Amino acid sequence: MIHDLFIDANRCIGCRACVEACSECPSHGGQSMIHLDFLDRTQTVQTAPTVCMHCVDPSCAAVCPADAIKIDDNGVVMTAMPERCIGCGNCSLACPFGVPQLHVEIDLMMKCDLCYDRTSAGLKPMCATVCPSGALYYGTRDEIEDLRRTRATNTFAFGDAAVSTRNHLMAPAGTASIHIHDGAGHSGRGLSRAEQQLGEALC
Amino acid sequence: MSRLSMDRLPGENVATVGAFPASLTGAERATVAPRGAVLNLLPWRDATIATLLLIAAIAVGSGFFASFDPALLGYCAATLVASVAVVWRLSAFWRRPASAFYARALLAALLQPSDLLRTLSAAGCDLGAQNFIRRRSAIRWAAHLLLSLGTLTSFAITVPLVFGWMHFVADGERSFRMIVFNLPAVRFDVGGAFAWCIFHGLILAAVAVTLGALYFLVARLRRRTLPEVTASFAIAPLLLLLFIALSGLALPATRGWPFGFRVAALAHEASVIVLLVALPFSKLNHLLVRPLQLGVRAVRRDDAAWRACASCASRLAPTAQQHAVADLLERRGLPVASHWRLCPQCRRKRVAATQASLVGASFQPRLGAGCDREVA
Repeated sequence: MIHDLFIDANRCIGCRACVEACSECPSHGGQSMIHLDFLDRTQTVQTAPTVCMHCVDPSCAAVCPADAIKIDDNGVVMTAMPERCIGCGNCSLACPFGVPQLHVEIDLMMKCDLCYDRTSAGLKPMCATVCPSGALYYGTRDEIEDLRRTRATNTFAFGDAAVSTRNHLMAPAGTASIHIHDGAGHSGRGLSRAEQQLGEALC
Repeated sequence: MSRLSMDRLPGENVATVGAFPASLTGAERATVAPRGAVLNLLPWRDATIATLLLIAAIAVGSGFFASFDPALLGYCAATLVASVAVVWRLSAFWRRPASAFYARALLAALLQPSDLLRTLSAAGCDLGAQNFIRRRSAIRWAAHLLLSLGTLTSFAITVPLVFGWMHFVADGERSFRMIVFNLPAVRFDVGGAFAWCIFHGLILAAVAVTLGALYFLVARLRRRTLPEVTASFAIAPLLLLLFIALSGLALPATRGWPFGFRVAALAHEASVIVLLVALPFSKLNHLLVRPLQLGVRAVRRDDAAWRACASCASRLAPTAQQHAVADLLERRGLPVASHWRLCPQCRRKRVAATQASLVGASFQPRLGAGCDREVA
């Protein structure tokens, strides 16, 4: 039985333990499949870990011209099969969560496969095993909702496009679906030169 | 442990088996859906035409079966069955909307004189030298080169012999003449280097296949806990190739022992027939996918028009590719919003920023602001 992963970026402390643990996995030899992003270093120290959400109807697999992305019967969306992947980047363009990593130099896409070798054997994924703050939690919905005031949500709206996922984001109770901002009020504001320089200096 | 279903037919992913938008025509559904692909007549048409052309080529090339060797009839029949299966599979796969975009790009590049040289050069690097595997792992590249060149060499030698396209006749006391398509070709001395290569080519190919298959077999068995390493998908084709190579090597080794030779010949023929028939339906079918990489090279050229991220202005993708992906998503009932005009990092930030705002974060992160690089 493969459980679900629950992601609460607000609990992330940017320690990179998940990144390092992920890169230990032999199935992707030293490469971390987790993205750890600063949201806006001019305003906050908030970081956000992103792993594959394992969509119910994964757009990465749907647009793959080589049919290199397979889905397990448990709904786990696998990383690209190396013998098939032609490094086109369609998956990277199609994924609304920005997960697939396209390695152009080796013509291969790699992404989180929920530590399939571990989770299918009853173990936790590497990232959730080492996360000290509970930003990445592996278990059942009942378990996480016993522990938190926030609730697990796995339906998203990107404009008119609705996406359901196997993994969950934590959101306040009563949030049936997470409507992803269309960018108004966020990316619309330009940065002053001082802010740009501050951001670059902080990198 | 749950295992992947690797053996579904053409559009074989479970993701492609589902409800389709009503706007899709039957033919489009057939090229999207794996089970529908069986019902699509176009691949059957292509397979029939290709096989009829092949039969005609066998008839003409063998002088209307004058130089056809009846002892190789089993191989010939299996090759014809394989040609139906391979062309059907290739045609069905390349007609899938996602694949068709790159197939068209490849065709356009081959037909455009200015792009032809670049495409042929890419074919040499990607399909011939397999440089993308070398960049992944040098030792895997060497083993794959042994495996693929060994297999292709053995096909290059045996297929013309099986079809009667090539045979040898004595031409003098110590020389042979190669007859190709009933036309006299090269004459060579029986003790020369060329003769040695011709007569030992299959042995060299079998040794190369054995070494390559052994490497991958050991590598797979050492990583057998990984999801893609299933007995039927990853192990069986290697065992089959190994068996073919070893039974092929047993043929010259048992020449002085008639019973052993007959057993080796029968085992070799049976295993080659299994390989030919299974070729388009096993892991080996990546041979049919790989040429699309040349289409990718044609689309993702540096001098093509590229789109930038709508937020951070980093280079995102060629405009043609972005349109193709948007079209594919909309065919699947996923209307593309402004979100898809962002680069992957800005998409991730946008999702995280939305979640932050839901739980009442006091800051208003601006996408594309500050550091756009990942944490190093």
